[in-house]
Amino acid sequence: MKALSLLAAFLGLLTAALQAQTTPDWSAIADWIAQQKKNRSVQIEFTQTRTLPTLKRPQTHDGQLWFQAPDHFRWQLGDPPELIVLKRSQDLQAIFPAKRKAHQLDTSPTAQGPASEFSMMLRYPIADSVEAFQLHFEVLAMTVTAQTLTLTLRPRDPQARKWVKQMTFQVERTHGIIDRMDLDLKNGARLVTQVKSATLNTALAPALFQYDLSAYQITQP
Amino acid sequence: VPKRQRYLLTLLLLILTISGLSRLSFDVAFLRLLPTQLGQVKGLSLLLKHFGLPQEIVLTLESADPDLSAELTTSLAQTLRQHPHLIQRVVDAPPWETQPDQLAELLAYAAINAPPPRFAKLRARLDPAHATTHAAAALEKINATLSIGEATLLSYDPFGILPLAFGNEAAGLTDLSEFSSASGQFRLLYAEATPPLTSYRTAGAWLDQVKSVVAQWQAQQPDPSLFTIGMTGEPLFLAEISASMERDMMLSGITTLALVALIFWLFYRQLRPLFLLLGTIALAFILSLAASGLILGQITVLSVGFASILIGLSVDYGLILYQRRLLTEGSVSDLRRHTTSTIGWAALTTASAFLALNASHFPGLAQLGTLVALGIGIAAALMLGPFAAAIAKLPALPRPPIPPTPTINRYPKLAWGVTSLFSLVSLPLLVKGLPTLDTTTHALHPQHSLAYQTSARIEQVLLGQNQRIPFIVHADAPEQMPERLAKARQWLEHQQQAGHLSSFWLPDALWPSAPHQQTNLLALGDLPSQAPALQTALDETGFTAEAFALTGAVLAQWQQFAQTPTPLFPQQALSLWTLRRSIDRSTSAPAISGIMVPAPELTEHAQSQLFTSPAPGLYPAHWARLGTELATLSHHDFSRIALAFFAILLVMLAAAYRNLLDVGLTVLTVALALLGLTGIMTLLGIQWNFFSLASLLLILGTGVDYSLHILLGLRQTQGDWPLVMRTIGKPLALCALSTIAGFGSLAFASNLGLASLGIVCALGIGSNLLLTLFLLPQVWLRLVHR
Repeated sequence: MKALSLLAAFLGLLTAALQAQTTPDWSAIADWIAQQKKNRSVQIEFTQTRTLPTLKRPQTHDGQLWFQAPDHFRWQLGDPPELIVLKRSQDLQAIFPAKRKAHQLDTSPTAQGPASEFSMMLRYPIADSVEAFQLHFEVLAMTVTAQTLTLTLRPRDPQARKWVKQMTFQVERTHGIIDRMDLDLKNGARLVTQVKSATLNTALAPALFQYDLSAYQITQP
Repeated sequence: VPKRQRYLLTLLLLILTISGLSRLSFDVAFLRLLPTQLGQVKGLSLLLKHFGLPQEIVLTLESADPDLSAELTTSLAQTLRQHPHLIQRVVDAPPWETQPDQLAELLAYAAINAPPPRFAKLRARLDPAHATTHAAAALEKINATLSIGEATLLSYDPFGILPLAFGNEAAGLTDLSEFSSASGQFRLLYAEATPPLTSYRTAGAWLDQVKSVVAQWQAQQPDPSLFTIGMTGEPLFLAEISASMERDMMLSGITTLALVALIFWLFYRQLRPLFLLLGTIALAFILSLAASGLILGQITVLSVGFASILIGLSVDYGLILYQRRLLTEGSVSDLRRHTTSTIGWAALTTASAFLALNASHFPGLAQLGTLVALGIGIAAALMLGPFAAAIAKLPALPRPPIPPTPTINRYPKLAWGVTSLFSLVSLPLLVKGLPTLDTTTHALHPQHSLAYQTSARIEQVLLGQNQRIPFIVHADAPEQMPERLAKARQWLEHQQQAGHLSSFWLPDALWPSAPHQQTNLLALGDLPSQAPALQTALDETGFTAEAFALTGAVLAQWQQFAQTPTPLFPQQALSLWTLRRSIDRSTSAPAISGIMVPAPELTEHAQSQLFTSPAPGLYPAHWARLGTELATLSHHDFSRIALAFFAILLVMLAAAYRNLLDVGLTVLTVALALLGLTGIMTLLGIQWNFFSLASLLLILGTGVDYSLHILLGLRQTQGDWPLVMRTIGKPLALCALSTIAGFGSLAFASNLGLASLGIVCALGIGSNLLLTLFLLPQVWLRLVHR
């Protein structure tokens, strides 16, 4: 009888432990979203590393990101920038300065192609609420410590799901800044974004979100 | 006729019958029911003719989770591959993704077949002297692109062979995935039959085995409720439609025969004449079927209804003969002398009404009309021949009971009842108006069909509703195709510039062009032998050996092409499998299929330009547009035939009555019957369709026929309407009820058009019967005796 009670207690503990592992800590995610919402402006310097099965060496580029609430966004790769992505409200452009070319991207919900694939990287905050977060992502794994939140997610967007196997965010909990993001693709490729520095809530020049495209060849979606 | 000649004639008839029946087959192509002069009918027919695959079925799998859909599709494909005796090939993912090495032949072909300026660009890009520069540019693009898809493609095709080989159409090729919806939730797999599916019976047996394998696999899944399986393809259409046609013909025929037997029994309660009647009808049916086999060869889904219509109509002649036999004693000659004129004229009038359907632009209706007219002729001959001889030899028959006076006295009251009933059923017309015309092609389809359901879902998910429209470029000979393609491209570009098309995809670069191939092979020079230099360039830039696999395979294929006479065309199974979906060179009149995307919210004028006057040999295949074209044509078609038919009837009525009042009363009776019919249709929510419209002519014909009998009877008897009811009313009611049974049994037909034709005819003839029996005599008596 005693043995049975011990076994039952052990099974109970085991079940509780398993539940703790598989059930996301939504409060930690809610905290993260709340922290992100507090940031009215963000300036980030990062290094992006692309690893492809067809390339011998990983490709590393430096990049920068600026966000100004509520919806101004600039992301650029390379120095001088080879690619700039500018987002103002629903207006989204991919600019290739060296080629003097720009693509107007389709931001409609039914859009396919680059804008759709890139959309999850353009979200700031990552979601408006925990409910919205749940609509966008499936949580595969989660670790919470006092300083960091590590989340392994899978996008729910079918377009993104076609390519993305999983994405892992490592979040610094005090300010809600993503320290590192690993994007694992189904074809074996991997894209790692490592944040080098982050500056929060400073005044950003409006010109950052403007780009003179008068001498550019612009293609429509 | 001497005995020997009679035997010879019977033998000849037997040979002709067997020969006719053996020639008979079902034509399952419902497009053949439609007017061939319509552009969309031509386009859709060509699409099915050239790109329908008689050995292939398409299985669909749909779930809310794209990963689950992908996983299950792979699992199902693996299961199907374990049955090689059933399925010789299963393709569940784009071949260029699962077997990229086998894509090389197709890519090499597309490049060598491309216009020489485009190939020159590709040749320059593969020049070993500049290979390192191009490889570096590819790497830069891989690093800078926003698109994961583009980065992946470039990493396997760093010299950009694919976009240059296919030109701008590459986007169309990759965009039009035939394996998955954009969301990945809906997936398709293609299964090719191992045994030859030569008939609908072999196709049906094969499908049963495949369905059983699929059902077993489905049952083994942890939660089968999470996904749905669909199935379509030419073998399934063939098996489903043919089997339903056979079932419809048997079921409606047997039902009608049973109802006719029941009605006869209720009225006469005599077994021997009943069996004689049924036997003669069965013989008329078999002979008509054999005759149609000899004359027409194939019968369509619509003509299947002829069995029950024929039974319903031919029984009338038997009843007239039998009623006469009951009332008068005499020889066969006497019986024939008294009835030949009535039956002959009735058969001629009815056959003419059905033959009038030949004036319709709808070949399906025309064939139905011919078949029924043919059957009526045969049935009338059989009834007046062997049936008359047989019933004349029957022992003295009991006289029909005279209806008791109280029954007849109730008729005037019934007139009020009928008037009230028709007023009541006409009320919905005041509220909801006349029944509308269903301009969709719904009436062409079977009521329940897995093949149709799946096909509609594929169209909805992959092509998008009314967004992507397939088209065919058709040539009378292979030599004509380049010219047709050039004109088609010119026209498509013009439509795009005019704002009528958002985009289009024409795979003209894939049509074999000997001049292009010869020029490009000359320009190729010794490039294939310089493959190692290109590989070194990639290696030095930082690519792995994997990145060179496709380029290397294309170069090797070009080397092989250089030793093959032109015009070249891919030979590998995978290339042929891919090309077979866009190019058909199997006949002397080849075809190419493409896709066009009309601009949103096009005006009717622009649509008309787009769909009715395209380039020579270009045929859009647009289902929605087909409905619009059919509605316009059927409106015009129907008005023309109805007017002509009505004019003929008026002339006939005037000649028969020589009295304006009787003509007016007949027209009024028919008009009231139509009013009642439309009222019931509105009440029950029944719409007109392209086929049920034809029933108006039949209702008009029977209405006039019934009125004619009653009014002439009243005149002959100086208004003795109880006598008219006994001598004419009873057989008329019997005839009408058997005709209603014939048409009514079609309500359960698989084909929606046929079912609606049956329902509307049954309702209309029922209205005619009620009005001519109960209202018309009373109105006539009141007006004449006023």
